[in-house]
Amino acid sequence: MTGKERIARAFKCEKTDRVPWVPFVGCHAANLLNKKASEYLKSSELIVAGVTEAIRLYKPDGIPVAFDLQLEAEVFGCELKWADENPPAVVSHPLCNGTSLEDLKIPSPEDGRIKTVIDATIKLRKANPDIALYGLITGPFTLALHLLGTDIFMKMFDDREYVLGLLSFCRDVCKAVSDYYIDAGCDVIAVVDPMTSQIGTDQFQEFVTPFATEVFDEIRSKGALSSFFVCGHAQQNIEVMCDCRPDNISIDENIPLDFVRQQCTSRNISFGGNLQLTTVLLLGTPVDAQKNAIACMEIGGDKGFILSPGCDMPYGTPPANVEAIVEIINDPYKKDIVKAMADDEVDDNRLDMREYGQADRVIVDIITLDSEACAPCQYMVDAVKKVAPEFNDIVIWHEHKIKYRESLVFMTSLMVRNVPTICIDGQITFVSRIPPRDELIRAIQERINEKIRMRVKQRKATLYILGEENDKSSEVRERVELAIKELGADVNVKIVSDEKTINSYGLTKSQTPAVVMARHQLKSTRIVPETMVIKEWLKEL
Amino acid sequence: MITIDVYILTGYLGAGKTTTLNNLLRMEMLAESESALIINEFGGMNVDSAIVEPGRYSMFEINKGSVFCICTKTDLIKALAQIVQDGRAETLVIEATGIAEVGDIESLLNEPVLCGRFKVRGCLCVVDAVNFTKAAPFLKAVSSQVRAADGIIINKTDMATKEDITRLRTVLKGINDRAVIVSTVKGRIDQSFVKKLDHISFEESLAETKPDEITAVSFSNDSDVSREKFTEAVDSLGDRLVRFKGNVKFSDGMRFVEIVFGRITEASPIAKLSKGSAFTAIGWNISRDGLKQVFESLFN
Repeated sequence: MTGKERIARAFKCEKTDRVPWVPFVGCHAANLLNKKASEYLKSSELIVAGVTEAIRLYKPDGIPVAFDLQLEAEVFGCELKWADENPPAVVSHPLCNGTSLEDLKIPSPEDGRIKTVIDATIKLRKANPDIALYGLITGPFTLALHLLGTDIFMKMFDDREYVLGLLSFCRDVCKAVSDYYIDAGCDVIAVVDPMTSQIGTDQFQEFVTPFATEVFDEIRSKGALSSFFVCGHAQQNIEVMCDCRPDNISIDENIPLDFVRQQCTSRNISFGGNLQLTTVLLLGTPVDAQKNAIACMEIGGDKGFILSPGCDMPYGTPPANVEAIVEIINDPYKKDIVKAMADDEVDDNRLDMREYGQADRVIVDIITLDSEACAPCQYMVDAVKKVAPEFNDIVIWHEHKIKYRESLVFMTSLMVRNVPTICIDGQITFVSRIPPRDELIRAIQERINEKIRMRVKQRKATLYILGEENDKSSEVRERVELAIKELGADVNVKIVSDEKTINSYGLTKSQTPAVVMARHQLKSTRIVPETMVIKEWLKEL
Repeated sequence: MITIDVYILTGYLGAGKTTTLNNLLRMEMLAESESALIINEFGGMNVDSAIVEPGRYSMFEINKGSVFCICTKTDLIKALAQIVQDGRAETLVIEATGIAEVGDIESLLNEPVLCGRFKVRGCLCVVDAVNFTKAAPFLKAVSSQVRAADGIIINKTDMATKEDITRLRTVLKGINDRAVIVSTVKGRIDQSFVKKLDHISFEESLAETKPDEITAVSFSNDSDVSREKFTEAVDSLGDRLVRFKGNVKFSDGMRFVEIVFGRITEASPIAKLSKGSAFTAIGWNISRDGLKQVFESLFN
């Protein structure tokens, strides 16, 4: 299934082989090229290069050609303030500055940066026949706000007819620009109308619904797919957005995805979103990004859901965060692992494993998803199982299936991030790789040798002479001291004459003089060892 | 941990926020401490930073780039992180955009990356004495900013009647009855007013009060309206009818009618409107359906 087919099926709320993925790469593509947003968004060549690079890195099913909601406004004379790491901002509103609505004309495909985007679309279409290209247009309400400024909210009361006239014009602009982008090769037209989040349902129905509905009808009549993008606190408007009959609704993190799923699926409208832009994609780690993507995928389900960021990805988003998402989208096995690890409580219950692996025997832990259900896990367990008997009882091994909570806690405590993994005495030794027999034997042997060296260093012994002070016990003491001297051994000698203490050794006074040898081995210092670790020590006895 | 005191200044564009901000920055409590200022205006790029008087504060403009909702979050976090790293600021004033949700700003201040360094001391909302009720039904943030405020400043009172201000106070109390309200001109406020603010978080404020609704309905209808019925409708709404504007096709001819807080004026009709009645009514403390029903009855 190609990306384009996947998107088309999802838009029809049909099942797809995996979740369709549309990274909203706008000014972030400028960063991929090491360019400023202000340079990038003005050049069709740079847009083509940036989107091509994003396609290479992020393997999308669909991708926007450009993400700039000021593009049409600029054509109408809105002044823009350009920024290095953001799309530009509108700083003047022609309808407030003497221009009349009648002076404004529907732009042609040759006007301003509409032409830039069309040129880029034609080239990208040719080079990427299997990827769904998204043409983004500024929605009628947001465009009206650009043209009139925030006066629009007062005018909704003071001059309602004027506002409705302005919105009719903006609707016609939306229809025209949609047509240009579809003709240039876009598969999906995204009507991006973030400012609708600022109004309530009643105002939406009055000032948005009639106009947006016509835009979606136009897109449908041209045989293309449509999406209604909104960001911000727009939960109140999702239902009325659906009434405008788009094929898809895309939202950001301000609206719960499960709410949107419920609203959309009941109307057979697909939906998308809502990876967190700042806290996760920009400021988070690759693991955070994966966890967030999985949470979205779990809610989104396998019909009609498109995984995407909530809006235009920040310029400085680390590519590694996005690539980490790509990894789990394309590899269900990796997704399962991250999913199992996504439980925050597991992190909270992490064990202190610093002293793990101090027992006499060598412990080999194999962390798996489940060796009965996952082939690589099975091969790894088999490899250890075959090698262990060669070391007789010195090597003991355990499989930890992370489908069980305690195994997951064990895994995170050992800082294991990939499955399957072999740990020898708590040290991550083989990650996602089945070691050849000789290599595994060598690794275990090295650990045994290391332990022997440590044992010699760490062990101390004490010889206790039990019994009251008398000739017999004095003779025992003399002989002990002679033996120690002759051997040069490092052994402490202690005399125990107190009857109660003698009893504590399991002896009575009549059995004295007695000699008790005790070996001491340092196991831990300054910490409270985990019960699991202590158990391993006790097994030596 | 030493925290940075934060004052959030909100209000719809044109309410006099920047003038109030200047007065705030001149107060001893801010002028004599190391202050940082974040200006985050919507649609008036560069205007605010040009208006705000230069002072000894470090100023951050969030106004570059996209101004849409979540998209400003990145820049705001960057500015906040820079203030933390810089380590000098004792006080931070955030001039929020007219479309900002205070809850969003508060949750940003609590992002782990900012290490709990910011503590909101007060949220001030500037309200335009004349235009508040016009914008409130159409722009969600106008009401929600009032709702989140610890102190409300009714500004431009010289441009409204005493009665209108009293009625506006009642409307504002209906939205937020815990905030301290002051009336002023040119954004002049006392330091004691700011110092006495008792901040509660946006989340808490949501739990505390259920705001009275400000809602708008529009009608277009060709049928004649009886004057008697119209007067009855307006009377039945009483204080709940905050504003009314548009052409009404009375049985004795078309008239342009405007009502502000119960004060009715009539004039020649506006020609560009439809042949019949075409008007918008704004109600307070009444549901949209209730308001709609009252005016629908005119056409039966």
